[in-house]
This record gives sequence, C-alpha cells and structure tokens, in this order.
Amino acid sequence: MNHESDEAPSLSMLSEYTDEIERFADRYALGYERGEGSNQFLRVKIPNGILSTKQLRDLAEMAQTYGRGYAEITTRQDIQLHWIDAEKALEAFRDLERVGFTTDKCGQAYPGARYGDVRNIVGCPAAGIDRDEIFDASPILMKVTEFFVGKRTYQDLPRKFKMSISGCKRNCTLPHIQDLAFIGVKNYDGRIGFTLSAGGGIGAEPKLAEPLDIFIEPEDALEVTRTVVELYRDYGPRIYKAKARFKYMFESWGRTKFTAYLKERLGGRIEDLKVEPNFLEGVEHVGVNRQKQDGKIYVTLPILGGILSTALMLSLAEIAERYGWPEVRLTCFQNLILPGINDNELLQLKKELKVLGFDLEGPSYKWTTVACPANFCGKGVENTKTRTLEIMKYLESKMGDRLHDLRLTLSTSGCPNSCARHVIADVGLQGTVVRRDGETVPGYNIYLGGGPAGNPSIGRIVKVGVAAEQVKDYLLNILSAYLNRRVGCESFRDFCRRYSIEELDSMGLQIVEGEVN
Amino acid sequence: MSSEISSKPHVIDVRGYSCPYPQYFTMRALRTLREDEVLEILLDNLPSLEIVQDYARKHGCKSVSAEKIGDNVWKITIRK
Repeated sequence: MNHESDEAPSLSMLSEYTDEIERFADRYALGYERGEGSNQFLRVKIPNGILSTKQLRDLAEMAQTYGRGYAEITTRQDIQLHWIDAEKALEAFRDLERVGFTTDKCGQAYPGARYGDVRNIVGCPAAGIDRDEIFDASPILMKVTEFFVGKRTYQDLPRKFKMSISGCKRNCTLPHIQDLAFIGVKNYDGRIGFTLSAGGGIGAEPKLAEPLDIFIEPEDALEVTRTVVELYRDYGPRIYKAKARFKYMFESWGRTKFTAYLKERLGGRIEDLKVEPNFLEGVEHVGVNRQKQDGKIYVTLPILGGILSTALMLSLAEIAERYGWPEVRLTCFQNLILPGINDNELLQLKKELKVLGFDLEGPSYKWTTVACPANFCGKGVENTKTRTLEIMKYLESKMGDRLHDLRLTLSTSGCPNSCARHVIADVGLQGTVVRRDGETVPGYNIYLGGGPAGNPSIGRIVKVGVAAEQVKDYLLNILSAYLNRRVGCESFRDFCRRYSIEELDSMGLQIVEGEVN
Repeated sequence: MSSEISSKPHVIDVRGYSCPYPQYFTMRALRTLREDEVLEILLDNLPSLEIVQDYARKHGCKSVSAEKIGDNVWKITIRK
C-alpha cells in the first residue's frame, strides 16, 4: 500500500496487514463481472494448459469452496471460477498458491491505459506427445512464464499482452491473433527454432498478426520476449485505452521498423528465415490421436464452452490416472486432453467417457466450437453457451450424418470484444439486441468465412441483427447450401469467399426443408 | 491509535491495486476506526470504486460518498 498522508492519523495494524497483501498483490487478483449474481471471478493461469491430476483435484475443491462447484476452461487455457466472495479472496489466494498457480492481474478494470500484464502464454496442448510436432516448446514456454510471474516492473503495460509459444504444426494456439507468437519451424539448414509473428489481436477492430520472417534459436525466446514487452511498456501508446493494445503500436511502427529494432537490440540472434512455415490446415487436436510414444494415444474431450463442475473434474482426474498419465491438458478450444492412454484400452475408456456424457464420435465441430461467458461478464445479451448448444442440437437433428462432412469452426461471442474469437471463425456469432414486434430481444450478427488455420482470414459480416431464436435456421440454410453447392473438396471458407455478402445472405434466408437432403 | 476520536480523516492510498485489494484495505481500516471517525480512500481501480462503497453501506457506515479528484483517481469518504 502507498504511504498514508502525513496529515492523517495513523492506522496501526494496517502495516502488518499490508505485508500479507503485498505478498499476493503481484501474483493474484480478482476480475470484475456482473452476471449470474457473480461480482468477481478468479482466472487461474495454467501455463501451456498442462496440470497434474492432483492440481485438477485441488482446483475442483477450490471451485466447490469458492465458486459454487462450477468452473470453465477459457480460450487461453485458464480455469476460471465465478462467484468469488471478495472477503474470502485472500483465503482463495493462499489455496491457489499451494496448488502452484497464479492468476491474471485483470488490470482491464482500470479506466486508463495502465496496469496491463502478460496473460497466460498459450502453448500446444499436445506438446511433447504429438507425433507431428516440430519440437516440444513447452519447456521454453514455462521458462518465459516463470520470468514474468510476480515482477511488478512488467505489470504496468499499456494493456494486456497476449502470446503463444508452440512447436506444433497445427494452428492450435492461433498465432495470428496474438500480440507476439513464437512458431516452431525448421530452418533451411535443418536447425529447429522459432519464427515470429506480431501485431495480431481481435476485439472490435481485429487485426491479423504479420509474419516477421525471422528465425531465432529456442533458448533466445525469453530474451526476445523481454525485449518486446519492455518496448511495449516503455514506448507503447498510453493516451487512449481503446488504442493502447500492442497491435496498434505494431501497426504504427510497421513490420520493417519492428524487425529492425529487434535486430538492433538482439544482434546476431535474429536471423532471416529462409523457409516457409508449413502449417497443417487443422486447428484443434480433434478426437483420438496417436502419440509419439509407442502404444500411447491422447484423447481430446469436446467440452462445449469449457464448462466443468467439481464432480466432473474429480471424475476426469480419476479416469486420467486409471487409464493414462496423472495429468490433463487444456486446449485453446476449451477442451480437455487425457494423455498417455494405452491404445488397447481405448474401447473401455470410451465406454466410461460416454457415461460422463462424452461422445468421441460425431462431427468435428464439436471440438472446434467455442463460446464466451457472456452470461457472467454482463456485456452479453444472453447465455451464449446455452444458445450455441441449442444451435448445435438443432443442426444435428436436421442434418444428421451430413454434419460429419463439415470441417468448420463455430464461435459465439456475447459482444464485439470477441472473447470467443468469432471474427476468425468459419461461422461467427456476435451478440447484439434486435427490435422485434416493438420489443428488444437478444440477437446475433453473423460473420462467415473467417479462418484460423492455413492462410488465416477475418470473416465478413453477412447479416446484422438476426433474432437469437432464428439463428439456427439461418445457419442451417447456409450450411445446407454449402453442402449442396460446394465444388469438390472446397472448404467452407473458400465457399464463402466465392460468393458476395448479398448472395450468402440470400442463402441464409432460404426456406430449407427441401434442401437438406 | 489514540483513545480520542480523531477529527481528521484517516487516509489510505491504494492507487495501483486492483480488486480485491482496495476492499481488503478498507475492510481492515474500518475495523480499526471508532464510530464517527472518517476514512478517506484514494484509488484508481474503477470496479473497486463501486465495490468499496457497497461494502461500507452494507456494513452500517453512516455516510459514504465519492468524488473524482484527478485523472482516473477517486476519493471515497466514509464516516463510520
């Protein structure tokens, strides 16, 4: 705490209390929200999304003690608890310290361009086990994370700072929407390291990150990160909060100046990249995959909206230990991975998972659909997770097995802040309000043709203000039109690019009963 | 602390602290105050501005008010 006024009477006892708060203040905070009767949330940073089953059990107990037995996996591999009583926050912080995790600083509550921190650094959730990965970057991610934890000198950035560090060939960490992304690559001479992209970010004014076409050795990732974060801290824009994110600074500087700065500061450690990064088209680690370890598989459980309960977390910890390794991993698509499963036990595992409500069959978009916690944050018009589930069930009932042919991402955000990344989804829904029969009702703006993989793109807004109840029919029409009219193996994104906004909208408005089959 | 009721306000400066720390300092400070003593809290965390006032009202303080005293700085005045 800052010093008391010289003019004011002293408040004895407070200094002792200050010591305890100071111990937590740089590592733990509550976030502010206004929904479902919750005023404050606890966003637990899970570096690389990897946690032991013991930690999962501990967090399950914390969810029970402080958060009504409810928890959510976020799109940055955090676990978020709600309904945190501020008067019990220090107890929660003590518990979390014992578990071994910290939280976001949640400085966005400050009205100016201050108190930004480095958010949970996202990494490939299959790091070290995926057969296709270029290399396991999780030790680098842990080292960079550790450097920033609790350092006050990095907790007054203009705004929050978002990063990914991954050696995966998939786009599972969505590098093109990060402020700074380390992307695993093999250079022309066979050396393994990172190339970088910078300046990405979504929100109300989305920008895709630009590739920097440079190469660094893995051990230089911390120094590069530190250089960029200090640049942002010392020279980042602080006049208007809305324009203080790193993406605006990067845009102002431009790629050439930014890269030149890195080369000047870091000398020979910044080399030119002489190959093209070779990403797979996929994003999420969908379903069942073989590990690089012989006889082992990892299983990704689709969890719509990342919704967990204390009971489910405890059950998953028990199943993970019985069938595989004593750990679980969280993905940027709000799913959970059970690693180290013996491949000859998959059938039995599937039966047990089915009892818990997890079906590993079905369309892949079960794994690539995300929804934000709009019902908690107070900015959304309705519960986006419930609405998304309703839409998915409807599409399944109408389209049946044809849904299995779809490879798409579906994202539902409650507001323009794009917490569910709707602007880069194949199908993106953004909550809004619409007038209907003289009344205001929840609705959505519909974005189509965004893409988080391959050659990433921002979706186009095709329809403004569809009443929430009608969104499922609009999407059914669009998806049916795609399946009926696509050319060969044309992706949904390419299909959308082939048509104008007006043409796509007319497809969405069609009567479709006869067109589904 | 003196056994006399202070006529001057007690001041705590929690600028730079995010939730829940301004509330915590306030809770603790109010416990040390006597009835009718005044606590002034300087803060720059907007959610805390609301939450601290809510806390004081719910806990029976006689008056609670807030004013903006600078660029993103507020002063909450609480009479216990």
